[in-house]
Amino acid sequence: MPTLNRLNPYGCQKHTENNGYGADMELTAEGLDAATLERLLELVAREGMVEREQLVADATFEDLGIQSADMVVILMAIEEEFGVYIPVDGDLAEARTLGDFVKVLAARMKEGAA
Amino acid sequence: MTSATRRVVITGMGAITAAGAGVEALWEAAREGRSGVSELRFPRYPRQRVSRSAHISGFDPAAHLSEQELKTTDRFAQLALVAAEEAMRHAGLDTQAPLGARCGAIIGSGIGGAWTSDDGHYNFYMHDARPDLLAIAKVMPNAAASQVSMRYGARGPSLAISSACASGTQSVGYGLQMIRAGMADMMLVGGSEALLTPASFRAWEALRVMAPQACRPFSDKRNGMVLGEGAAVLVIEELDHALARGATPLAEVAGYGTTSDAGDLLRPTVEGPAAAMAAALADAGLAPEEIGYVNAHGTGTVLNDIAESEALRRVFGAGVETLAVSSTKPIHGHALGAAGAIELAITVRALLDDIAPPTINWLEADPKCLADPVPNTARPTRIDAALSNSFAFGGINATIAIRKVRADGRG
Repeated sequence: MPTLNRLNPYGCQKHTENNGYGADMELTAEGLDAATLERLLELVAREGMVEREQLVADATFEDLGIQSADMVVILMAIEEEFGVYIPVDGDLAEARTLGDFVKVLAARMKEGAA
Repeated sequence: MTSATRRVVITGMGAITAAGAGVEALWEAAREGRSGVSELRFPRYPRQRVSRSAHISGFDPAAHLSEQELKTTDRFAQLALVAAEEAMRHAGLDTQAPLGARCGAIIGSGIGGAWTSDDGHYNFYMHDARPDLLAIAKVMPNAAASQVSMRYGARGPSLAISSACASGTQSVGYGLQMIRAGMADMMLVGGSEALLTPASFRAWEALRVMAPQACRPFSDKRNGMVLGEGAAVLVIEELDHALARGATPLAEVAGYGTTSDAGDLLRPTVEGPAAAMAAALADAGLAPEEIGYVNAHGTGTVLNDIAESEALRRVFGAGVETLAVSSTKPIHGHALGAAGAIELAITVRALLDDIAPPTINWLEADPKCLADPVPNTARPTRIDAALSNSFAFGGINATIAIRKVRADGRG
């Protein structure tokens, strides 16, 4: 029976299938230039209190030890730095890995800019 | 077991919510699927992100409170007094005669006097204004319980239980246990919350769990909860005490179960809620198949509804497919510390009328949730016993079990 993972914030479940990213693959996101992406990742590293090097595409929040309270802090920092308000129950609810997370953010930031 | 020796029944109920003043208005709204949610805009908070809430419009405390009470109460205590007055009258109690030492009050609240804090802090920082001289006595989370105790002369145990969204349900649960334990014969129990202040609303926005448009529990495409406010108070008393004074038992408070996840601060588990429901059933001596209705916590967040659905499957097994389970939060909003008491009042009416109120705003099934949460339309169904669930931040889970009683109380 599926159980929710203790350390996994907002239910992002560990992703075991092929998610389209190779292990340790560099993160990219459509619509985000390299500099913006780097700012975003530095923010996640800083607010989530993890090493920047750990932020690879297929890392799950569980892998990173990021809990629900950390996610609240990360999303507020994103709101302040990039001006986008992202609810956890929208597209983010389906995000399982850091790669998925960045993809959702990129889409929302694009919307915000439009 | 003490539970076998002292049975506890509900003899009166009162409520005030965005769905209207009084339990009758609340129940009609719940049954008919009429939502009290509307637009809320704060003049002191111009950059609001979310604007839907179940707030009480046009509440005039002066119509309900004495001048002394008006001077000394925050909105959350005022709402509790309104609900308590209705419950007292419904129970056939004399509102002018002191209830005495064998009656107490437990009115839960997640936060307490939020408006007094908000106004006080705002005026202090912005204007260096003279403080509200009674701010401390208005803000304290036990203010509602104390005001109820003072108004009706209830000189037994009085306190607030503050366990976030489980406060109301735990208040009923510990009231039940106090009566069973012989500490009191009658208790005014319930919850009250008035947290729709600008800064509190902003703090909820920061958690990013509020629905931008509609709250649709257990539905596909749900995207969050809707905040509410209000109060509900129930008169509960030992069965023979109720019968001796000629009161009509509405339902028996048959069992109480509560557990803690001891895990994540915000994210729910399956095990904790399942264990709370199982404990309430065991305390009541009820088998899962005897339950005819469950008023779910059902916040409408993606995670709560998945975890609660799975917990219900564990407790009720295959029977969950035919069990009437619904969330009435889209009607009255998530009233936080008052939620459990408001929803228990609805559950009692559902049991009395043999009608399961609907989960409104439901679009289509989410494969991870219960497939049939009484979507959108009330369902006549036999309800001999029912559960009401509340799960809170901090990992607190609480469930109350109620059961029908015959008119002579011997059901």
